[in-house]
Amino acid sequence: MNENDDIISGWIDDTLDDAQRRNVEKTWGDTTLEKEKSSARRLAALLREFSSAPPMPSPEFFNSRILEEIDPAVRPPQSVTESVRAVLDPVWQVFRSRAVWGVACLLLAAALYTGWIAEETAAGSMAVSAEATSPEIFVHAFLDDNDRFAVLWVDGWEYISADHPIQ
Amino acid sequence: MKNLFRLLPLVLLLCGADRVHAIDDRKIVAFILHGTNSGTALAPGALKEHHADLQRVFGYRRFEALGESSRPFRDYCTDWLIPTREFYLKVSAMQNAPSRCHMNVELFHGKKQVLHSKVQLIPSKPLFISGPEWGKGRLVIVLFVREDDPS
Repeated sequence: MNENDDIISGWIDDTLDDAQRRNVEKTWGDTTLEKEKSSARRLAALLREFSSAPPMPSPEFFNSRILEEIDPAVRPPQSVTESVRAVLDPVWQVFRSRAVWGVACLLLAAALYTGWIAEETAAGSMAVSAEATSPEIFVHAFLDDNDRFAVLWVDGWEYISADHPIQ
Repeated sequence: MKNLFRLLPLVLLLCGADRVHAIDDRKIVAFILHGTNSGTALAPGALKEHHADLQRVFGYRRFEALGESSRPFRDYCTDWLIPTREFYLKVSAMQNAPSRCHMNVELFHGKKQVLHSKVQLIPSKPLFISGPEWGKGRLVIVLFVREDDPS
């Protein structure tokens, strides 16, 4: 850029003092100056139009790709607290959701049902097994078909005479 | 609706307390009966509901109680039930669950152990043990768990 360009730029930007401005207008004439002015405005408009970066279609993906490409060794080391938080935060996010608590409540209800109510209504829950402790005794265990009672049928007892009192 | 869910733990707690109370009030009861066909039909009051069952199993219509014994039924406690001096039982409670009672039962005749049994009973549903024939009938040992009314 030569000295004339500086002077013309000053005239366009209106930074010249009165004496310089008059001198420029006298030297260059109105037509030349107007040409320069309009040319400068076109250039400014073009610069404004193309100087900004084009918008990215998906900036988050772009950021994540950049972070993945960064060498871990370059990253600043995390403190223990930050590491623990990094692990626990996703877990906490899961537990914060109402769906998880809903599922937990359902599981609790199912456990209560199977361990309590279902047990209460379980059919055929009587059981009996037996073994004789004398060689002359035989024991047979059986349950009523309707689960009303259980029986231990013992064979091998000695008859007790009616004269013998049972006390 | 939200308030109902808030009350749910309280309701469950009360129900649970009620079940625990019922379990704590359980008793194990033993009867020695004499079954015969002489006289009118009879069964002890506590076994009225099972008179037909006794009749069906043993073939007698009259069951006269010669002795009765009862003890509290508590987890992992051993008790002697001595309805008569001649026939008695040693009951070791294994588990007192809401719907059933697990126990080991030993039957003695005099000083001699006759049998050893593992039993899982539903409260108020009895275990019948056939005893020896006596006179014109037969002795029957009945064992059951009774849930006493605390009132």
